[in-house]
Amino acid sequence: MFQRSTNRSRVMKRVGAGIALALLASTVPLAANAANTTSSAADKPVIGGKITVGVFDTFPGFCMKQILANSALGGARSITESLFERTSNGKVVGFLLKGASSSADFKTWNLEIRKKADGTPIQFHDGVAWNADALLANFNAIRGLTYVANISKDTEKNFLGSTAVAVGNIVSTTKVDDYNVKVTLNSPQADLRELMYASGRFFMRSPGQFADSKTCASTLIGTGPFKQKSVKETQLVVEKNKNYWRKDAAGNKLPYLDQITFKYVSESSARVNGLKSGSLDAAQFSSAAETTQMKDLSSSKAVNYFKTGAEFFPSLWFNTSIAPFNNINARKAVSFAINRDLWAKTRGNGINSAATSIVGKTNVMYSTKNFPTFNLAKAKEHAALYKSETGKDLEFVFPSSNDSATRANSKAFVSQMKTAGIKASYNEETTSDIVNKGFFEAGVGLKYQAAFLLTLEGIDAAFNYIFLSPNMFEAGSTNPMAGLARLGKIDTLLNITKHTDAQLNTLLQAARASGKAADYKLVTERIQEQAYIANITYQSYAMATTKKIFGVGQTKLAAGGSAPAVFNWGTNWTSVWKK
Amino acid sequence: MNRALPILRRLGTLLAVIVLSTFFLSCLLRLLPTDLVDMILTMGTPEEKAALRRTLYLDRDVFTSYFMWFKDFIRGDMGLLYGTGGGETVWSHVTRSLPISLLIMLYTQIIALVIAVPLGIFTAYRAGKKSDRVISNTLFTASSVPNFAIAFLLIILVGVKLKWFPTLEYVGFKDDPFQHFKHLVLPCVSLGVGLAASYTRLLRTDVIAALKDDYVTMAASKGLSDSRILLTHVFRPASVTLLTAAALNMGALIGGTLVIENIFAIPGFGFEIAYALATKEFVALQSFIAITALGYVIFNVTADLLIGVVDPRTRGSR
Amino acid sequence: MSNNPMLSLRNFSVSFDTARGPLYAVRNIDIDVADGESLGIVGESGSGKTVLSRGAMGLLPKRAAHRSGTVIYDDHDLSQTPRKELREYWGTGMAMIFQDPMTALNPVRKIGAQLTEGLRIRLQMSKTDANARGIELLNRVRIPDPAAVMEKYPFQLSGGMRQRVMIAIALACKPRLLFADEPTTALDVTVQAQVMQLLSELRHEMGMSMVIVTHDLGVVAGHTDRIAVMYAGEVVEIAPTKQLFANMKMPYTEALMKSIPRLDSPSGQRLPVISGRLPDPTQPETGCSFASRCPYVTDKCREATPPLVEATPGHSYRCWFPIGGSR
Repeated sequence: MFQRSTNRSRVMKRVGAGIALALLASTVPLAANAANTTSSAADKPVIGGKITVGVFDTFPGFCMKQILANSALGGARSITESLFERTSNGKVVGFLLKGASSSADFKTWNLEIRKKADGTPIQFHDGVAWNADALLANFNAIRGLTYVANISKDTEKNFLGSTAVAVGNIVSTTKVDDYNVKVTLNSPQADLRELMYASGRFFMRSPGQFADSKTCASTLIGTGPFKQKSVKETQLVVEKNKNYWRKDAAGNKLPYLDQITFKYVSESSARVNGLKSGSLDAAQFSSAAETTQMKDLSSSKAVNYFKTGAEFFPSLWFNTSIAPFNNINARKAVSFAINRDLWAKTRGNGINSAATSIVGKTNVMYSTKNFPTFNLAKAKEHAALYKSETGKDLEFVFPSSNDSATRANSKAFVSQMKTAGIKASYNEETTSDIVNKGFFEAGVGLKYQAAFLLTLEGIDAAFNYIFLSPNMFEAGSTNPMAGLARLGKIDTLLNITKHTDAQLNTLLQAARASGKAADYKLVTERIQEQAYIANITYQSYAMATTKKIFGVGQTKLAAGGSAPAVFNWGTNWTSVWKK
Repeated sequence: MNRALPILRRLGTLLAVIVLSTFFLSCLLRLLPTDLVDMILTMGTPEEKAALRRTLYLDRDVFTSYFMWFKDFIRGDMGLLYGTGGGETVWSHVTRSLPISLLIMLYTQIIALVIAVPLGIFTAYRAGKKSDRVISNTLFTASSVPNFAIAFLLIILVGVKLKWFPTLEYVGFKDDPFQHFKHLVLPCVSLGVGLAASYTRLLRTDVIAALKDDYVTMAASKGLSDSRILLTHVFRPASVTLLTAAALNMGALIGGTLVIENIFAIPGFGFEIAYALATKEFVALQSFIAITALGYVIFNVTADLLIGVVDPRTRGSR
Repeated sequence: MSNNPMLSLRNFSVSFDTARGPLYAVRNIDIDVADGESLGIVGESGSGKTVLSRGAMGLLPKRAAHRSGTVIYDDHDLSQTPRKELREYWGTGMAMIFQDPMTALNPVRKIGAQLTEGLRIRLQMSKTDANARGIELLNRVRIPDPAAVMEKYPFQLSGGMRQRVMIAIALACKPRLLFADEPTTALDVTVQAQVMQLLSELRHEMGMSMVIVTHDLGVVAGHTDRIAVMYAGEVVEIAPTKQLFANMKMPYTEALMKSIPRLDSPSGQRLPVISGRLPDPTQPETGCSFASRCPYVTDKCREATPPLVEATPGHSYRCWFPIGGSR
């Protein structure tokens, strides 16, 4: 169930962030995890210490319904851990799961649960064991079945979140034994692992949390290196989990820090000054609207600076079910009219790079074929074609959220359209209105002709799939949530462009079934050929710390390899220490 | 009865101001382009929406719903914050944030007065001389800089470059008194500089006038020392205007804290208002604004009472 | 009573800095006040009499007012004394009562506090002693129900009562020389007489010297030993009181006399006024300062400044053609 405000759902925030973020571009070459840090020398870690991290999102709650926005997710991820993790090399490896194996047709999977080195189960903070029962409880919650089960007694409906849509392909989950779970899918899906990484959002909660929607929202219980100490909307405090199941290479207990305070500081300059004055030990930034600050910090000698790759793809999604963008020439005209390099120079501050595809260079779907790069002549040509076909001039309205950064970007976009003779204008609305009433208001009709949303991200295609596929619950799906979806009781945030492209659908299914990059590229090429989506830039996130913080990016993963220094959700604090 | 009557009249005015301002606000809420219930429960069923409408008294006419809201308000039932799923009460947010803002306003006034009183007397004493002109001009410049600009200046100069004070956060007095004050220095100074400037000028004018008054000469002719004359004979009558200004400024400071608390990430009442505005918590906003109106009125009344204490000439008309 | 004058001014002048240049308010005054004597200083507004009294006592603002000449009080030269030491003489040596008791009393402090302030600080009296003395003083100035009045504020008293309070305050520390600056101007006629009567009584009782500064000859008529007439910053005539009234020499003094309204003057008759205005004190001219308004003016008056001449012992005047003398 979507809430009315942007902070409340994962998709919402991506969407919300997207509207603010979507109109930036720059020509910086992509470099995964570029950093100007001092390398952590062979200093011995200091045990203990408290740090404060500045984030730009609030903490609405911890149940499935309140899905955490990026930088707030980082706080939750210090408490909980996910089934899979991503290494700094981009590989997805098992974390709480030892591994996942599938049948040849990718329709049946076996998930093996990791145990501690001594064979005993990993424990949640409340003592509950991490085993098959726990995994099943989590699946039921994520898939919305717990909601269905509790619907009579728990009217808060706190269990239903939009991650339900992401696992729509799962038909059933069954326990094989204490440490193995079998998952059956409706359609073959080769990248189930990547789906269960999902940019770090599929974290595992203790089954005890699901008993009651109120406690589920207010208390987060996981297996992670830190435990929840206190939470309010603007601040999360976590303290060391003394029984954390991992140790460092030398055999010392992890984590090193005693306490972390994640503090909501909305003003970017306040975060920067907080870092420099020592009020904050670390702070996260997003290149959506904070490129100036990021640029300043990247060259500052006072801080350590870590950046993600350019793995976030805000896009202009066209509503292909209504005019003008039900006409391919309209879509192409707009796509060709976007001067991405100019945008990068003028609005990107050298941090965001110009898009060359609907996804970034490190994404498995990446392909430049058919991507409409800047070409005024072609833009005008397509606009003229549109006019001759429909008799109308190409004009459209898009929503812009009402903050100064987005407004500036919207204005710039409008002027670029103008150069190509396309009349674009924007209405200012709040981000939540845009999302709620734009594409997703069931039964009311589709309001917007086009909108900027940040929904595609990462290096895999698993989660991107759901926004491109026309059906989350395929015909004949036996997923219990499918019924609710048909009743219009839950939003199926899919198919933002409302396309009815059968060819695209086939390509999507095939790519998901094979998981091969080549197949995914065909999907991209089809989308780009049809110009369903137009991209301007890629974005990244950054984490900056004071010089007293060491160990960022040095957390080793259970399956081997290190975690990246910074994700979209922040940093893995397990191996971090403060001098 | 005679003595009670003016007090009752005062209370009546108080009540009228609060009622009018909050009634006006509730009318505004009904004029919203989007229905409030639709905004909160976008995906709700018709039954759920009807239930919410009943809870928010939106199913009645304007006056009844206002009256019901008001009844709840004075009992402390200020509704829920719907952004987080209706789990938190507005009242809980008020009780944890309002004391912080009140403390900030109090410290700001103290800082402003501590700066202004000696400066005001000094510049009045040396009126026309170079020291007076230098100080007065500096203060005038300082008061024309908006408080958030001063805040940024202080953050960069004092917080970042010199690292003397922290630039973020609030620490409760009970948790760590030293840090409590250390964290509030920059915010309160930012707010206090402008106030100090205006107080100094007020005091300067009054003291200059007082110094010219005969009773000062008379007091001098009794052979009293200058400092005694300043304190007991000059300052007290001159402080009347200052006191009025200080009490009235408390209301204006509420607005000032809104900006400053956001800059310094202090979870005070101003921060709550700003956050509620950004997240469209209209139910909460109604109560926040009512509280602000209440604050204004209380401070005004206090100003009047204080003046009555300090200046007995005005007591007769109470 | 000693033979040395209580207060002695020699060549005493006061000038102020103004935008138009120095303003000569008081010019070369030589005057003595004997021990126990009551001296009246009479002149119209602007004659410099208030400046003279305040200047003599030292109450003028240092910055604005420039004093020159000597002020000898009780054998001490006060003209060169720094303010801090000067203060020692105030209250216990010299005291002043002011023209408007409404503005001269602190409006926000109780009478009792203002009355006992000097006693407690200058005479180091205890609170109870000072209070008792305060009540005593109020009694002495004939204020009814003094204990209640101690608790009142100035605005709660009538004009006459306020003036008495001010007298009480001024006399609290038993000064030896009292300056009374227009003590009755703010009061109505009947009260005026009472206050002046009170002042005289107190003076005799305490053996005090007194300087009464006023524009009203009638006020000083029955209460002074000598009267000095001031015009444009100078003393133009000075004589024992009876002498002055009987045998005035200066035309200005005559004009002043004539302008006093009398109860027995026929009603409807116009009050004689002195036409013209005071000369501009920023530009002292040659010749007699009264020349422009004197009904008997001659050319000589305009050209040469008449010196202060002693006609009979104790009676000096400044005129080329005194009344009763040759023209």
